[in-house]
Amino acid sequence: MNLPDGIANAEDRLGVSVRVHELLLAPLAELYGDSVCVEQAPAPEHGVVQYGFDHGEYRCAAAVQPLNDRAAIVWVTARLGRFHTEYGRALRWLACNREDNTVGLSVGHECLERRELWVACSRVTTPGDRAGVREMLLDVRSELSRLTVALGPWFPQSVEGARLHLLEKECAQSEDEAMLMLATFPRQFMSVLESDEAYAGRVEPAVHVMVNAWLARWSRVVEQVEKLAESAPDDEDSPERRTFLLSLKLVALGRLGRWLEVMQTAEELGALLADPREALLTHRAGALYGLGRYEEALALCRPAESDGNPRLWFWKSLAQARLGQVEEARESYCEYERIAGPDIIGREKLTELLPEE
Amino acid sequence: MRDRFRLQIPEPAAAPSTRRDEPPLAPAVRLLVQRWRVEAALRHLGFMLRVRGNRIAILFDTQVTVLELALDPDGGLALSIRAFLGEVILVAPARAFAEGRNEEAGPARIEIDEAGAVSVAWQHTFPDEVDGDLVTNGLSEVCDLAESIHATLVEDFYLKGVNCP
Repeated sequence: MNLPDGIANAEDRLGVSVRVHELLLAPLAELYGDSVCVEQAPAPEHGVVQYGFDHGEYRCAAAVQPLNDRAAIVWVTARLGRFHTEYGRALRWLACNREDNTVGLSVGHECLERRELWVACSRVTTPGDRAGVREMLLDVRSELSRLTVALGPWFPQSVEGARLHLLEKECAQSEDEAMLMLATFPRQFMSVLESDEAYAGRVEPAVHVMVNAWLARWSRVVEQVEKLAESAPDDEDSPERRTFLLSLKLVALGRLGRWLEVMQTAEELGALLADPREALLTHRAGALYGLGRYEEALALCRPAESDGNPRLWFWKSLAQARLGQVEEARESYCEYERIAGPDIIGREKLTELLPEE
Repeated sequence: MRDRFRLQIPEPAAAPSTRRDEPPLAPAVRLLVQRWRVEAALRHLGFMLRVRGNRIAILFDTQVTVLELALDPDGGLALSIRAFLGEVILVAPARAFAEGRNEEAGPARIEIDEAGAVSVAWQHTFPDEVDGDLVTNGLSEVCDLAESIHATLVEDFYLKGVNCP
């Protein structure tokens, strides 16, 4: 029986999307393994399934969308985070960082309303193009890793996409109205805590600290962590909780420019980490630079260290600029951007230190 | 017009999972891909799922159903679906009741261990790929049987259900 054209085309289109969907599964499983889950399955028999997975602190989704009788669209999105303060600045930074990149900025009405940053990538794919789908996923993975180099350090107040996803899942099952506000309206959540002592007493104190960090209330973060340390001695607190609180304190002290305390807190935190040197190098380099100990900062940013920690190239560049090593500073900065991509905030900081041309 | 159009679209032919010139998927990857097929089939039906490794749990009012996927030594994909109903106090009579029901020869079976834990189980091995329709059929068999015996287990054998306090 001959089908009418429209129906035959629809059949072909859906057949193609099924075959392209098959191409997506193996590399997704190989690259992200068990962290991948099915988020939505509006038409699994046609390959229309949305998969969700975490890339570090970012929440990603991947799916296939029918296009025509020869190809389908494979798309991947990453929700980087929500910004309750400095959203405009973060959006601008990301737009410049992602310019001309295949994994580009994705902005929509909803995303702006929620003050979130997203990136996305899509590819028109024919059923035989297995290597193309794999390359696309590898590209997304490497671009997301590049993003973590600078986005986190410049905007530590972000509520990361992976955390948001978890919070939203927990909130969907919660009947606690204040908790429902947590991720969307943290200021209102804090108002509830401040006005209702009994309720505040039931909320885990680390949550207060975390929400203050989201709101970039850095002095309060430091005060609260110190207060909590006094009320719960180290041996009574779990190492995970202490690590979490000290990490927040470390970031807060850095934002407040209290560099000596950064050095002390890094020591304290280092005692809790499996690989303290690697994890805390950038904080130490930043603190030494902040204290004006440029030679020491430079000594910390040796090439071998910077290979594993690209952010060190940035601190090296600033330290070199302060020591009058202008050409070296430019070279180090280029190396930093080669890894992290265009960084308008970093450029601004370096330009301030270099002599005008 | 739109509905008629939709009805006339036949199911697309299943695409081959691997082509002759491509290496087969690593067992762990293959298992994961098949787990996603099961997850997709269940999410499509609107179930809320809890996934841990290759175990997918669905919470119902009177039971928890767990679907578990594993590779058997011959490379087949063994899917087991088991509904956990709770524990009975009158173990021996409940087991006699279960034996009687199992003789009625449905594809799902009632199992009661020595401690009185009651479950309804169904198993199937897929040679190559999981078939979403068979999974949903198996799930229906398990849930139908679990629902049909639940009241008897509560009233006659004092079942304390998994979702009861």
